[in-house]
Amino acid sequence: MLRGVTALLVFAVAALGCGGLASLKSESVPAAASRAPVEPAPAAAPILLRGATIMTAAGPTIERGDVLVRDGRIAAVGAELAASAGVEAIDVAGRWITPGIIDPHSHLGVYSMPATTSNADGNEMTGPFKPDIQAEHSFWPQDPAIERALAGGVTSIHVLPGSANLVGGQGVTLRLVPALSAREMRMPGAPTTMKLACGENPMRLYGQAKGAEPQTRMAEVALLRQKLENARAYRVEAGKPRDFASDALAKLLAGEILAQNHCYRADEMLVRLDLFAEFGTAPRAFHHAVEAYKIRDRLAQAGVGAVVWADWAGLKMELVDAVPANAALLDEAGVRVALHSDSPYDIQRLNQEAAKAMAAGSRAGIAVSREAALRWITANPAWILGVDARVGTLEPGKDADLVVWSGDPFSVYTRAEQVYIEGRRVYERANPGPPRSDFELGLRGAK
Amino acid sequence: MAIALVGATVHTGQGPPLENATIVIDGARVHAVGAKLRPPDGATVIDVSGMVITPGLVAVGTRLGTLDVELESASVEATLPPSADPVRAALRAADTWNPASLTVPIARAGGITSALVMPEGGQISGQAAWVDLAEKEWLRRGSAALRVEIGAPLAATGPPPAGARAASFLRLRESLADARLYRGNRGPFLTNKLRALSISAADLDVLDRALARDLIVAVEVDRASDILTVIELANEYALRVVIVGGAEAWLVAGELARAEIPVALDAFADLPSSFSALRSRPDSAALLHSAGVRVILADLGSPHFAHRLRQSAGNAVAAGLPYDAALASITRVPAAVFGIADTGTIRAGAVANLVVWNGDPLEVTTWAERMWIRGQEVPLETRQDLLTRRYRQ
Repeated sequence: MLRGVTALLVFAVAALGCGGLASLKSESVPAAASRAPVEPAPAAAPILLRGATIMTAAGPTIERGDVLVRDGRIAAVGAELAASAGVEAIDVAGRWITPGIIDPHSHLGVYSMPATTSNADGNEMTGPFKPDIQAEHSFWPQDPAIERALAGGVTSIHVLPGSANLVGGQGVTLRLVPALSAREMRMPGAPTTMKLACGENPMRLYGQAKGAEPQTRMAEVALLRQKLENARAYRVEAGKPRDFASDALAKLLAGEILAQNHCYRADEMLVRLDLFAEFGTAPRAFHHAVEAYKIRDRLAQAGVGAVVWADWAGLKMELVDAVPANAALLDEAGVRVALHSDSPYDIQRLNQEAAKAMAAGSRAGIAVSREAALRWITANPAWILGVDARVGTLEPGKDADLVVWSGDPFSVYTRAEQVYIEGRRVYERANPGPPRSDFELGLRGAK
Repeated sequence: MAIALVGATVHTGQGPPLENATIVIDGARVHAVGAKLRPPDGATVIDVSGMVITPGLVAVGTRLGTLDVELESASVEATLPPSADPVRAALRAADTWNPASLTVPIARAGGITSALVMPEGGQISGQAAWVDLAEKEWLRRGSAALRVEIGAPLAATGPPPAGARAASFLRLRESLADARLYRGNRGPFLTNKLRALSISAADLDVLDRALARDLIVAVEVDRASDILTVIELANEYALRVVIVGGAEAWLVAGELARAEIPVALDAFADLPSSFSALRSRPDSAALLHSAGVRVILADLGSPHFAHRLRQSAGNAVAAGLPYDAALASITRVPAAVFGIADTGTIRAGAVANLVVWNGDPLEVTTWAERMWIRGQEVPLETRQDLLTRRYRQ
């Protein structure tokens, strides 16, 4: 059984930081036609969810509260909201409601199930710099893992290329709505991201496996510096063919593409911060960031987010100093910290990951409120992905992406009962229906 | 000197939990357990009121303690390279167990006191060891099961090669047939008066124990049709078999129950991860249990995740497995299935492997406060705790 190892080897991601060099105006680079958003679906009918314990991720927990959803948005959250005509009232007494969970680091759809050779579609291991490739174009909307994630209360995922490359390609933020293409799932207005990687994975997959650059961390830094310098000088010129790779890195330096940098060790994160600073910018977040707790004040000062696991440890040398109190320590220091899955298994239980990380904080004597822990899987990942104006909390005007849980979302015994995206019920445990994935049709078997 | 743990809720593994109970430990064993039992004179009394005590958890099918860092091949000790002979029944995981492995303290902090440590790779991978997670005298049984894998990947990662399943069954049948011939002809074989056999004498001696029903055969297999084939083989050779993995075992739960074959289920493996596991589902444990199959919950992924065992049991409860069965599936059942006497329950005479929790042990917000292994208290502090403390100052 290779479940754990495979997950790490294949998925562990590389990301490099976001850039902010304004040498290139974003308007100078026309949007590719394929980036056009898909027409939104007509708004769902208004609903009123009544009588639940509501954790908004934006304020205190509301006992016996209601959520009014209209036109796909949160219209109101509070106690004893009035039900007007034409609003379907749904009794959820005894249940809990939270915002939909956002996984800021997923490879669903690019490493789909079953884990066959041809479903390994997330690492373009033909060269360490691939800034022009887009995870969206590998994404398979029929990945059976998507429905399991939804059943775990996940409403949005940030899909990234893998971490083989120093610059692995562009990530995309998707909503888990039924669709036939990634483009239909893309969250409107979500910034494009860029996956970069530090450390062991590029070393292992190039230097050690192929005898190619980079073999060392020092080469990783040197190679990246040169690419960023080239991008700084890049201009779109009339009569010259456009270079989409330089184009993307230039957007990264301009801050238009958010750099999401896979990096484990404290020393490497500090080297990365210095390298980005040379170009006047910083990554949006370090992902995996297992030693972020060692440099939490520096990360807080730099305004760089940290995307971490609750209890992964030891799989690689750069995971040996992982501590389960990482998230709590970071939160205490004021770092925007999010939990991620990086796994088609853990994505089904991110609420439990938050609970474990919260408990690890308590065990270490760090007080973490339940509201703060909820933000690790909702509001904070929304900020890290640049979509916090739209999702991540239950506040009027936000998308009605929410989960009705059978009980306390931090209990192992609790299950997501209903999941809504933009006010549409996209999952109902009591009435699951046929498999969502075409692949699974006829395969699940009867109970 | 005796120790008395007083005031906790105790899950003994037999009947409902005892409230406000006392456990008396004398030497390596439990001397007595009971509600409101008066500690014996002279015993060291430890007040654990408000806490919950369970038998120590058992990690089955793990490579715990046989590696330090999974992706550093030099630290991976119980997995032979693909170039090695696929039949290696004589290999003993016990020889590679290292109580000082980086993986061990983290597992202990997750409440695990014992493990059935398995070698990996090949078709007949070798013998699993039953160990306690103690610094000394850890070995309870050096040869607790013989591990067989159906359709094994031959490389450290990646999908199995073409024909892996056919090759597995071919080598398994060939090895068993040779072992049966060897049974009555050991002398002639060793004096070269028998036809050549496909495997070495050392391997044959181990298979001989399996044919004598002295050694359990733990078959790692997922696909329902393969499980039926394994049941056939078990009948043909009168083997004592445990299914390990069992992604699709729920489909043949009735057959398994009739054959009295337990299943050590990879508890989190609910995805159609391969063509042998397309019908994986999150409630497999509940379905098997209700069909009368003895269920062990196991984490068969990386041993770096061994501490999640109790979380997997909690999730099995949420998916319909009764609470008592879930707790038993990580304590009493594995000990009973692998014949490790006096283990997995808390009763007079049992080995004193137990964990003190600050709440429901299956709940993710609970943690282990204290632990006794063979009657000795073992520290639960990890390198992780030391790092946290160093960087919090």
